[in-house]
Amino acid sequence: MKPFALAIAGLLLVCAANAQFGGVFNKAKEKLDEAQGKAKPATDRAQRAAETLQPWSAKDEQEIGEAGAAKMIAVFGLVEDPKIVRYVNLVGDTVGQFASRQLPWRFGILDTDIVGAYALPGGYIFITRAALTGMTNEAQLAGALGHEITHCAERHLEKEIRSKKTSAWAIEEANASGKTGDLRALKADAFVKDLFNTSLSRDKEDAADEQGTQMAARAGYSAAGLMQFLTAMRDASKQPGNQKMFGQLLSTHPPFDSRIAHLKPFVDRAGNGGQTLEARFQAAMASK
Amino acid sequence: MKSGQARAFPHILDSATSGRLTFVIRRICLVLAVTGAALAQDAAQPKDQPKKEEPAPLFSGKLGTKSSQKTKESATLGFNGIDPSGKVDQQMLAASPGADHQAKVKQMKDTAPAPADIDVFIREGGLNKR
Repeated sequence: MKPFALAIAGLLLVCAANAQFGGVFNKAKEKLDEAQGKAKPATDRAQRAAETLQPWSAKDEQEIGEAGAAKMIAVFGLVEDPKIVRYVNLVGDTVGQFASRQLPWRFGILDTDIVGAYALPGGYIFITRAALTGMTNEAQLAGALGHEITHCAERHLEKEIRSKKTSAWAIEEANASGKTGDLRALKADAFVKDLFNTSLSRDKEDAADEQGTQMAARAGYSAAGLMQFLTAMRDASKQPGNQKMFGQLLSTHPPFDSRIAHLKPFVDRAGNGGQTLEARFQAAMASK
Repeated sequence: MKSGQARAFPHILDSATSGRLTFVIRRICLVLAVTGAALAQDAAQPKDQPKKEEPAPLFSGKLGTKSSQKTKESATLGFNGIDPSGKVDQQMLAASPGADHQAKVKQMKDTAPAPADIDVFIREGGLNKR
């Protein structure tokens, strides 16, 4: 009888223990399963964020640049006059020869009244129609394109995005909202949004002004081109009613006066030589 | 000989008629001289020249006529989607590119100038090649 009683007592004890702690074990198991389930997306997010913090490969640059360019065209449209587009490309290619990093440069004219120019990864550079109508010679165009070529060659916005992790944030957002689109398309989307919403650091803007001016001068243009264009923009931006035209540019760039003051010593050192090619510029812009 | 023609008139006309004729000729010469002087002065003064076409103010001229934007609104209103401070509307930036926009990017790649064309452009402009 004694072993039987002991067995019954043991069974009762196990049942009691299970009744007492079984829920806890089950909950612990559920928690473990849940944690394992969460761990995978978290790992994916970390992997994606880590990828965002790495420099983009040449292939990435090209693909993000292409996707970003398509978005810019979707937003603004392109001026499609072949003669003007070809001319802008020839000026850009002439200056682009002297860039610190060689890329297949492609230049487009955005059909908007906003004054500005934008550099996307992979060599895609856009200048706006309004910016071109504010120029009077080829040296000014060369200087402005040189500024954007520098941003692109030096990966300025890409570095800024990585340092601010804004793209990582955009990707996290996309994941959280259940969007599972192509990562490069997400990066391109974030890049274009940052183009219009993010200010580059002052040193990057100064570097783009300096190197853009130097590149244009090395290509044989007057070193004063970009500075002249900045002066024209400064004067026009003071006119009443021009807020819309320059608001975007001024929201992401330093004030014109300080950029002009920064560039002046470089221009003075370069002297008065170099081509302005006003007649060639006017002839190209007059084409229809 | 010509200057003596008035004095020669007495041989043909009586002296009163000859004197009157001489007076009239002198008056005509005076009127002609005054008219000539007035015309010369008028020619020296700047005339109202036909108005030359003024260049458009900077940042507001026309440039080309063809746009990739198909809708009339977006092709003609460049400030479409821009807020009063000049910033691009965030909804506008959310635009998704379609196949036609991708095609435009491809076109940008395909129509890039050939190296030989860049060389000619550089040479014609008196610019430098790397």
